[in-house]
Amino acid sequence: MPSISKERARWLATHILPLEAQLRAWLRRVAPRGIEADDLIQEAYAKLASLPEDADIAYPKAYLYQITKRLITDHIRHSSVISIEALAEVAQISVLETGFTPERILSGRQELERLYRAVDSLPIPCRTVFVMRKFDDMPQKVIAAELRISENTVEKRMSRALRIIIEYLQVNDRGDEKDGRLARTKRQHPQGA
Amino acid sequence: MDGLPGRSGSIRKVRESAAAIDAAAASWVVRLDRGLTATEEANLHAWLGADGRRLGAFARAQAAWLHADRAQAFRAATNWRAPPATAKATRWAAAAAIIAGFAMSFMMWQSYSRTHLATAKGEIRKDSLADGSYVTLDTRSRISVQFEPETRIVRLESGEALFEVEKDSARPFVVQAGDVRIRAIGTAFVVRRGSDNEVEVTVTKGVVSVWRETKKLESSTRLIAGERAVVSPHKTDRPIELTETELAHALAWKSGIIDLNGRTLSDAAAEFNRYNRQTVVIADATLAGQVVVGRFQANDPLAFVSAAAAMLDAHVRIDGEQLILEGGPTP
Repeated sequence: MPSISKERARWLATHILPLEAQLRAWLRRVAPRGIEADDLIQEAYAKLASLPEDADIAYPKAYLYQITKRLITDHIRHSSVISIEALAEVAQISVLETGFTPERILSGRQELERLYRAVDSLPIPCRTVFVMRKFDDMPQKVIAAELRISENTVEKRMSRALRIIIEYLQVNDRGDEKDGRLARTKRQHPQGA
Repeated sequence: MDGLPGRSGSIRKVRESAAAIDAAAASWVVRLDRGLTATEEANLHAWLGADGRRLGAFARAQAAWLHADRAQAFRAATNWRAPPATAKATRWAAAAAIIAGFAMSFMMWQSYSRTHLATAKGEIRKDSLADGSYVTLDTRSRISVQFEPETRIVRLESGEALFEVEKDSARPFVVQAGDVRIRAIGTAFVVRRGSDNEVEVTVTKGVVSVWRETKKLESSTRLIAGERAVVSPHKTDRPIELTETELAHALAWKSGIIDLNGRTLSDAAAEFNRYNRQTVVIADATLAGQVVVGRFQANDPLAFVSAAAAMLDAHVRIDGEQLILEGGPTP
């Protein structure tokens, strides 16, 4: 199975997802021109997903920032024109020494509020299948039968619900950015529900 | 968008956008949730292998999928499950939002954070906790931190720690050491787990209450700044008041110093042995009972045994990792 283990996913959900909005904002500030925050974040998740199952990470936040910083350095090294200045600048980015910062708890609360807004904002057909799956633990097949729609439709609505939720999770709490991103998503994926 | 790598074969390689990868990853996670056919599994393999970012997006989408389980918290407070009834929908949604907001602030959601901190032998470390409190761990100590919306719980699993607690009267700070509980609001205190399940609590600032889990909170002991109490499985000693010097001694370890204030030589040796690989051995029973005074670097046991030898008419024999203090002049 190429998928990551449930434990690893849960760990990512508890320790990394809540940091993502903050990390993204940080990356927009520090990443050199031409390196996309979104790419870096996917690469960072790939690194975290490939960690050995028993890896014990005491400071997820510090670890996440270290990884991302290293990724930036790699990007600069592999780019066609290596800028020594850019490398030196990245070297100066200070990564927090410890993961125990007040943001951790705050983001836990914000996270839940964000999740509420995300689910609340789902188009009703998407929300219905999503909630049937998550509240009632109904398999997708059963949902399809219940709603008298095809399994393929359930899958499409569910995917769309998940995409919207992910969009909500990745923005920081300034609403302006959120709206922009969601609008963009809608344009890109007009199919679905 | 079936997630297969179709574009990579063209001559001008177009880099897939992060958003496109995210969308494909979300679809894969949903398909995984309903179960994959053998072909789909192979396709997923191929898809993941074609770009390093895809595994990341996939892991993240899986994490979000699991994270979304927390939405169950809103189950009772929302009408999300109800079939779309257009007329009532808006009114309901407004009410639901209020109720959900209310439920949220009172709920103990699963996203509590739990973390471990530990020091190796000879290590002394200060860390800040999520609430702004500080903890300083003495040598070979271990704590686990579990912060929830209404309580802050730190379990002292072994060793000794100084807690400097950030004031938050809505969220008491409770240290658990075996079955001993120490509750504080905004204060500073040292907890040390000794042998025989003894727990020593020394308060340097503010007030704490100390009790045993097996007893009721009413029977707790109040300790104020400058007091110390020792709780053993059988009894809780009355708090004793410490002099300023004694209090300073109790905190000396924080700066890597062992302050021997009228302790016996065998006690002192045991203290050094908590920090160092080299062990101090007092070979002579009469020497072991001698009372000594002095301040030493915790990581310099040789300085300590040499000073003790000079003071007590003894000598030091070094045998591998052992520093042995023997009576009489150097043979």
